[in-house]
Formats: sequence, structure tokens, C-alpha cells
Amino acid sequence: MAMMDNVDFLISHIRNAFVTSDDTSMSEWVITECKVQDETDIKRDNCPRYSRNNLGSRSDSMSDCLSDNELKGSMDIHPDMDFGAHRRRSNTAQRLDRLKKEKRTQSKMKTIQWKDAPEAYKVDEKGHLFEKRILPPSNGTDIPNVAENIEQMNNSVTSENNENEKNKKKRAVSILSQQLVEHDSHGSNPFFKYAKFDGRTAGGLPTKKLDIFLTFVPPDQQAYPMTILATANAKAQEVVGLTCWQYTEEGRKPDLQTVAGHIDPNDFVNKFSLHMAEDDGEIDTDFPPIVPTDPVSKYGFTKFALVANAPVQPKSALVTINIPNRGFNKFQVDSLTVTMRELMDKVIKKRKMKIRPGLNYTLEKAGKSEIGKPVDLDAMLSSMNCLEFYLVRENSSRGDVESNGEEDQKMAESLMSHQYKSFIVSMVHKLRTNTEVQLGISGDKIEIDPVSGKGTAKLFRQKPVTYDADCVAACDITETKSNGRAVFRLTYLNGADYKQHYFETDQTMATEIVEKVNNILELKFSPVRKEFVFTQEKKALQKRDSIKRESSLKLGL
Amino acid sequence: MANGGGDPVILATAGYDHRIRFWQAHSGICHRTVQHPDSQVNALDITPDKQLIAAAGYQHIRMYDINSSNPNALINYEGVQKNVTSVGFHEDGKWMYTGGEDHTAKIWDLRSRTLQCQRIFQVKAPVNCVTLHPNQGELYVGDQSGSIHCWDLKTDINEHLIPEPEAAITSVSIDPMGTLMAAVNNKGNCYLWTMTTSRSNGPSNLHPKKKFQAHSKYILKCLFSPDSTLLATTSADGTCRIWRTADLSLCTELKDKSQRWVWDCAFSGDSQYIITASSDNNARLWSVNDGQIKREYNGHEKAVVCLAFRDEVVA
Repeated sequence: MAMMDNVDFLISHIRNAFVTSDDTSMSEWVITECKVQDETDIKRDNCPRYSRNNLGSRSDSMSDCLSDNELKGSMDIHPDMDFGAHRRRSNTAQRLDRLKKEKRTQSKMKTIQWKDAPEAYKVDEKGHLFEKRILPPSNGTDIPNVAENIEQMNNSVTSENNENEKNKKKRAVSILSQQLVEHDSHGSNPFFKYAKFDGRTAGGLPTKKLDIFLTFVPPDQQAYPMTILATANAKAQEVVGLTCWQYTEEGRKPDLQTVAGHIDPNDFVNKFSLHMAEDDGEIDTDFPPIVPTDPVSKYGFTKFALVANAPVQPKSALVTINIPNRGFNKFQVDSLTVTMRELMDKVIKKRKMKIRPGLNYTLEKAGKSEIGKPVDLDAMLSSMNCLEFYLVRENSSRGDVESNGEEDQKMAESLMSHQYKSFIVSMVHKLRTNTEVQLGISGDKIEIDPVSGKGTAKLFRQKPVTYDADCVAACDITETKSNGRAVFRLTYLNGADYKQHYFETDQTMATEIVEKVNNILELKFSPVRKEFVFTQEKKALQKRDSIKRESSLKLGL
Repeated sequence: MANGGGDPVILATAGYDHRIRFWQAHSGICHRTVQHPDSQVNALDITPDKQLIAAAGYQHIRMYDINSSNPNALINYEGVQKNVTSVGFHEDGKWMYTGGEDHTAKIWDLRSRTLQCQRIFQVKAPVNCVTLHPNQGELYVGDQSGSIHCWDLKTDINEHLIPEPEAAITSVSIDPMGTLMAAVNNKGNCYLWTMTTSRSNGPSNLHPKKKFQAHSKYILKCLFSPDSTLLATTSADGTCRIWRTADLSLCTELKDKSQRWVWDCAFSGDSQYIITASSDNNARLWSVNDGQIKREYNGHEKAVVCLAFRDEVVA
């Protein structure tokens, strides 16, 4: 190892290595002393003490010699280094801890080792310990007894039902049988199958404590959440089930049937939903309900609100089904319990699509990640967590997703045209070179700000100006150049006159700006714009008239 | 019998997920789970005073308190090699018997100060099952080689019989009146004997009664009902069959699509219901008469291979 004969490096390395781990700081002191001594030695001798090959270096491997800078400072201390009060416990220490804990529980546990009896078994000494019990129906009558039993058995086999009943009545009943009958007559907890997510009886499984605010209890109780301990693997839907189970089990009022009508424990997704909640139980309405199939442990918080959906008006929803290249259909559905197949049939019927054998349609959820993933047609709409779908022929794809995306984007752009957006364009001046300006466009105004370019004389610099959107009359492209650039014109009213600014930029940006401004103008339709459009039309009309007149004159000739 | 204010009905199941679950038998709700670290549970039994439950595992038998929420075992019996495959108690709680893969059946004195009852019975093959005769004085040990050893505890006299060579005895049951004995093996066959008290001081005399094919596959357990009229056999074919002891006709077949190996079973006190434990992680309560599932005990994460059940009969 070439490095190891570099004394400077070694000293620096040892010093720094001890910075983090030497609590006594003794080692550092020793090294520092040593170094100080070294330096004095070097000064005194003016010849390197450590040089072995007379190169004047303290290393025989020049290339590895570290620069002064690297040797001087001590290493950076990172937070993830193990030192000080927060030092991570070593594996050994952790294991020792665990063993200690095990030992503690063990100490509470009595351990009994198998030991052979001290001496060989002798009937005379220990026989009394293993006395046989005489069975109640004495041994002599055993067989007739069994025979009787068997007879009874045979009777019940061959006899009529009512006789069987009689037999049963005669027979002793066990406590379990009684409890079963009693439990059945009570009506069991419909959410029974969710009881297994109860962390209180999970015995060592990871659990999560959740506070569930119940929105359907009387207002004075709403501030007090129900605390449930769910196993960590429980999904949101199962937490809802567990909450309902515990609520029913605790006999709370109002009971859930009055809250949400008849509940089918196998499908109550549409009856209850779990929402994020604030500490005071207020529902966080900024977020949609928790997705029923998400494990709750995924969420970092523990406060939820259970909302019972009104049972009287079934939740209706607006479902959109896109048919690739052929637009879309919107349906109002009365409840989220319709199956996807029903929805699909509805579209097919409405569209009068012909279904040839072997040509099946299916539905896909909207969204790029869902392409090529047909939904389960027998599943309910409520389980989709989605209200927009694509009707796709089996073994075929949506195809036009991209173009649809573009259209969507266009739509979005036109809706967003009121939002401020700025562009860097060159302003065209009649007499001098173009200048760079920033064109800021929003629903209210259009700003032109100069961008300080090098070499632009201050004199010629465009002053920042702002035009109210109401003064803007028009915006159009006047010229597209062969070099891919385009000139567009912004017409505005200044006093009584229409004035123009010309800008030059690349064609796509020019188109975007023109579209944006025109969108704004269209939406605003200010008096200035009206006036301008009117005069334009008048001019066009006049022009046409004059052309007509000219041509008629020509004809007349 | 004293039960310390505990529930008169106790149901516990365990298996390969290292957990013992306690159930409310009538509702199907698990009300407690305790961990059984380091080992699966091969067999469970409840002490006659219903205070403790014994879990037989690999190299140890652990006793847990039934009526508290203590998650740890109270007593750990060790010093056994290999798996302990069966466990049970003398009716007065004087001693505990176990059988294991170390080729022995053992009797443990439960009064830890004295080792008076400590006994050991050596056989030549791994012990699969140990059954105590209702007279509390004879142990029947079934082993892997196909032998049933009849061990008279008081006289220490033992006899053995081999109903079918090369077929491991998997379970032995004696009816509560001590008049019938059943044994099942890994070939699906069930053997029946009538029992009479021996005139000499040895184990009961056995008179072969019947042999029949109860299942097409491995049988894991046989058990007489408390009223001695029924015999249940559980099998690797995913069913539990209930036979009438009178004529050995099939009374009911307990079958479910999702059920896999059925390892263990227990009758209710009035023989009207039976609880089974299966590899599909579930235990089930069936009505004996119609073979319908009345309750499912769902919660284990791995196969349930043993259960312990106590019921009481009211007049």
C-alpha cells in the first residue's frame, strides 16, 4: 500500500479517525504533540526526517502525496456517522438486549426439566398413584349400556323426525349448544367477518391504533372518536368493516341499520366511506375518501372520519364513456352499484353498435396507466374509483389516445388562457433593429417589458408598457417566414386610433400567443373589440362593394 | 368442576403459525391470541381445572394461563428431544402424559416438588399418539411402525398389537365408557375393538370387532363422541366422516370446497356439534346431524393442526 508510507497522510488520518470516536481526546492530543514536535524537528534540521530517498518529500510515492489543503482540515462530521449521544447501538448490543428481555420473560416462566424417576418403578411403592377408576356404569354392565346406546342410535336413525325430536329433548344439552341457539336468535353482528382485523386479539401481529370520528352520532358525541386497533395489514374497507363491527358489538346507538338503511356486510362500500380528518374530527374535504382497497398503514396519520352516506337518496354519478374516434357518451346513474356490464350495454344500445359474434367489447378506465387493462365487467361501478371509461373492442386498443390527449390539452389551454403566461419575443421596430422583450399575457392585461440585452443602446430601449385587455382589439399573424419564424401583430386602441405592435418569434410560439390572446378577446368581447370587428367587417364590405362596383363598371364597359 | 370463573366453554386452536388462538366457540370471534415462539404447536390440551392449556411443540411443552391475558407461557417443560406429538392429563390433574418422536411416552408429575409420578415408556419408533383410557390407568401408545402399545400404568405390564404391518398408527380413541377402542392408520383404514376389563391386573382385553376403509387417504385422527354413539375420522382427503358406532354406517360427511387436510376434531358435550381443524387455516363448527357449517374460526395464517375444546353438559 503505497499510501501507508506517507507520514503526513498517516498522521492526518489517525488524527481525524479519532475525532469521532475518542471520548478521552487523548489520542488526538498525542498526535498533535507529535506533529508539533515534527514540525520543530523539520525546522531545526531543515532536512526531512522521514525522507528515505532524498527526494525532500515525506513520502516515497509522490503521486499519492496529498495536497496541503487535504491534510490540514479534519474530516467533515456527517449526521449519519455513529457518535455521541445518538450513536447507533451495535448489533451485538441489540442482541444482548433482546436476550436480556427474553430472559426476563423467561424468569417469570417456570422451566421444568425432564428428570427420570429417582428409582425404578415398583408397584408396591407407587402403585397407588396410578389406580384405575371404576367407570360409572360398572364394568360388568358396560356392554349392555353400549347396546342400549346403540339401540337408541338405531332408533333415531330409523325413527320419524318427531321421535328424533323427542330423543333430543330427552338428551342432555351442552352449554355450547345453548349458546349457539341463543346467539342465533340474537341476530349476529353482520360485520362479523371483519372481527379478525381486530388488533386487540391479534397476539403479536403488528397493529395500528386509529381514531375514527363518527359523523352519524349525535353532535355532542361527535368530538369523541372511536378508537380501534386494527391489524396493520387491514385495508381501508376492512377498517370500515372493523369499525362497524366494533360499533355494533359495543351496542352503540343509533345502530347502523338506522343510520344507513339495510346493510349488506359483503357490500357496504357505498354505505360508508372513510375520510381523512383533522385532530378535532373535522373532515378534511380537500381530499377524496380513502380508496377502499388501500391498506391504512400506508397513511401516515391515524385520524379518520367515518361518513355514512345518506341512505334515502342513492348516490348518483355522472359516468363518461369514451368511444375511440367517435366521441363520448355521458350517463347519469342512480347508484354506484350498477355493474360495468350494464353500463357497457347501455352505451352499445345507445350507439346502436352491432355486436358480431367473436367481437366483444370491454371497458377500460381512463388514464394512460390503464390502457390495455380491461375492467372486470361484473364488478360494480363503486369499486372502480373512476367515472370515466373507454369502450374498447377486445384485442384492440384505444388507438387515438394521443390525439385525444392533444384535444384535451387544447381545451385546457383555452380555459387557461386567462392565466398569466410570459413569452420572450422580439419586438419589430420600423426604423431600427429588433429588441428582445418579454410579453406577459393574462386575462386582464398585456405587458411589454424590455429584456436588457447587451449592446442595446439605452436610447432605443423599449419602455415597459401595459395595455388593458379591454383596449386590445386584435391579434393576428401577419407573416410567416421561411426560416420558421413568424411575425404577429397586436392591435390596440390608443385614444381614438388603433395602433399596432409587431413581434417576431418562432411560429409555434407565435401561434400560441395569437390563440391565447384571441381566446381572451373572445371571452371578454370588450367594446373595443366589438368596434374593431365591426369596422373590419365594414371595411371588408366596402372593399367588396368597391370591387363589385369596379367589376360592374368593367362589365358595363 | 371448578373453572375459576372462566368461560365454561373453551376453544383453542393452534398450528404452524406459532400462535394459539382462543375463540368464543358460539360466535366465532377470536378473543385472544398468544404467541408460541420458536415452534409450531403439534397438540393442545386443557387441564381438568380449566386453568391452563398445554401446547406441545418441538422439544418442549408450554403451559399458558387460560383466564388471564398473560401473553407468555407460565410453565415450560423441556428436556425432551424432537417433537412432542401428543399431550393430555389425568382427570384429577395429578400428572400429564406426552408422547414424542423421541420414541417415548412420558408421564410428568405436575407437582413439581416431587417426582413421584415420573415415568417413561420406551418404544421402537416415533410415537404418533398417546391416549388415556377413561379409567385413568392405561395408556395406549400408537407409533410410526404400526404398533399399539397398551401400557397398564399401575402394574407396568404392557402388551402390544399390530393391526396392519407397515402402516403407521396415527390416532387411537377409546369411548368414554371404556368399551370400544378405535385406531386409524396412514392407509385410510380404521380398526375397532371391544374392550373388557382384564381379569388379571394387566391392560384391558381387546377383541377385534371390525376393520374398514374409512377414507381413501391418510387418516389423521379418530375420536368417539361423548355419548359413544359416534366415531369421527379426519383425513388428508379434506373431509371428516362421522360413523355410527352401532353399525359403522356413515352418518355424515363434513366436507367443504376450501377445506384441506383435517387434522383434529372435538365433539360438543352433547355430541350434536363437532369442531374440526384444517390446513386451510380455518377451524369449523359443524352440525353433526346435517353436516352444515355453523361457524368458521378464521384468523390463523397457516395450517391449524390441533385444537383443544371443553364443553359442559347441563341437565
